[in-house]
Amino acid sequence: MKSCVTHSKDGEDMEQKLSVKKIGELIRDNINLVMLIVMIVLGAIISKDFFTINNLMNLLRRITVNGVMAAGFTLTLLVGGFDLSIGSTLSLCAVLCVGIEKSSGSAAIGMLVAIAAGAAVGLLNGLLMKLTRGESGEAFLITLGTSMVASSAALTYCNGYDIYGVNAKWYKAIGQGNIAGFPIAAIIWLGILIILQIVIKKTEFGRQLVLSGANKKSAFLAGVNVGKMKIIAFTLAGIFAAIAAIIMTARTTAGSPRSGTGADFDAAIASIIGGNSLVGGKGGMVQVFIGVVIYGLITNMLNLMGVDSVVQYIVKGVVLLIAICLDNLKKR
Amino acid sequence: MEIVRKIAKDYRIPLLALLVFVFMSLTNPYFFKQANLFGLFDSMPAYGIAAVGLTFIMLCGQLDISMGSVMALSSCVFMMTLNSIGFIPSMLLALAIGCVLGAVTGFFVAFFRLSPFIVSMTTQIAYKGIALTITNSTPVVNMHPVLVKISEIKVFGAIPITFFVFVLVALLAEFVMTKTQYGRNLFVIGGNINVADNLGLNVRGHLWSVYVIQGFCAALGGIVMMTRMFSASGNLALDGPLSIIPMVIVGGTAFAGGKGGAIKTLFGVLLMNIIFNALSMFNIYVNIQQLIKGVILLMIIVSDKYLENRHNKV
Repeated sequence: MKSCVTHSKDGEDMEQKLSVKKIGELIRDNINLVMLIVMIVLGAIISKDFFTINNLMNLLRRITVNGVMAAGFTLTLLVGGFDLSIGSTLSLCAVLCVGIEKSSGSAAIGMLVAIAAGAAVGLLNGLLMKLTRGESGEAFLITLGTSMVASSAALTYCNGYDIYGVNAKWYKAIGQGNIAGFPIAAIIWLGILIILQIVIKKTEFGRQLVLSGANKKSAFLAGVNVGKMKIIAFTLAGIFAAIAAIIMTARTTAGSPRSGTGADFDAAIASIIGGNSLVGGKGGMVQVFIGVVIYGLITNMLNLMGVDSVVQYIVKGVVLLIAICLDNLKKR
Repeated sequence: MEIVRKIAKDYRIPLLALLVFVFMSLTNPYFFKQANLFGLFDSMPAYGIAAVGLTFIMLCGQLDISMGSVMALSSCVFMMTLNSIGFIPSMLLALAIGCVLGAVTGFFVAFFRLSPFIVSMTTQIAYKGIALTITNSTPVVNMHPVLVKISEIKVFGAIPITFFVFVLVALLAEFVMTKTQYGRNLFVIGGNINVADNLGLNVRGHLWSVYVIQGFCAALGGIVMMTRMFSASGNLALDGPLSIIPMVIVGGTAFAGGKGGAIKTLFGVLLMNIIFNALSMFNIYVNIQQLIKGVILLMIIVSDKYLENRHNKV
């Protein structure tokens, strides 16, 4: 009898523990989403200006460039690579886009050249990755090399000076215009994310892409052309860097050969705190959205609080470190 | 034939460095001048010492890209305290700070098993922020007499004393790596971290310690840099990781770990600096120099990995 009672008590305890454990697991699995909600609540508490349309639209406008970059970066993560060259590609495409619009008088030609340049850098990355059968370690070094090449090309093209002036109205509208109060750039970004998410999750091609990052040997045995997937992913990352450059130059109406410095790190951090795995084969565009918004919110809130831009580096570093530690809980 | 092949395999980097050096001395009248040689040897030690530190980390198969900011922060502290507490104490303080900064990065890598790249990226941002904050975003200039004196000492009229510090650090590191139990353990960890764990090695402790070593080396590199710049700022050595990582890789330390050495890194630093010096001798524009740097890095990585992996299907 006694043993029976204690047994049932144990059972209740177990059940309670189970439910607590379940909630714990739920939080742990969606830690990135939880972080996002915490950030939003914090923002609302810290500043009464946070939940104004102005601030939210401003936030959206600010994070779009990083968002497009992070989408491309995540594709290379998914395929088991790593792209550090997108920052330099951003600089190169920015100066090309503005410079060629100026010299040829046509914004469309400028954009096409910028996208072609982005695709070329990405293609070079992809081809070298295929040649070396590389994984993230090799990708890190290869894209370090191509980033030097791209930033050298950018500096040579404009002789180290910034190029000012965007003439076409529709070009400016990409960065500054609104449709029904919603920034056009943000619509482009969200469109890219939705299309990519559908491609990754629902198509044969997307499954092959993810599989070649998750386990390249079994992907090869299943008949997936892993080298081709790498080439496609890296080329797309380059093209997205070019699109980000177009949006950025349209917003600032200037192209600078140094505008991409650190942009690759920003994209990488945003992608990873959103919950994309560095090992490859895990993640998606929902995570990119969450990560980019979290990263944007950190900067936005620090600005609202009036924190000195230099001190922001420290706070950002610490917050990011905490975010990465929390994200790591998932893997245990 | 066998000997030639062995020499070509094991000593190709020093041979290449010697080749470029001799070629430049013969073809360019300005290369083998005292002033240029001094400039050449003076440009090496700062990043070279940090590269030796990075070799320890890469031996374990890890990575660190925060060394540029560690150099900046420790040299800022060094320059700020130099007048008030004297040369030796402020040097020790800067070195201690370097160790602490390395330990912070290493703590997250070793005990949380986070990706070293991501961790060092965030600590890099934070350290740079601290350095900019304590200096109020302005450069700290200090022409301390001891610093000036150190910068004036030349051996054979062309080699600065700091170069010998660099060689000494490299030799010491090579000794630790090859002749001590601790150094051999690093090779095991880099070769296969699971095997090292099963062998009963204290993997986490070792991983943590290499980051402390790297922090120390980066701080020393920062101090050495001060003997020729006399000015520190939070934005010092921003291109540190991009310059230092290629030097270590070119020297022959494997990115995946388990292979390499401090002497190899020494020759990697020599080769890269001689090439850069040669490029400026030929009046090549600095933007194009960066292109050449990138292409050299790509050629080395791609040829190395292609030869290693060409029989693999994927």
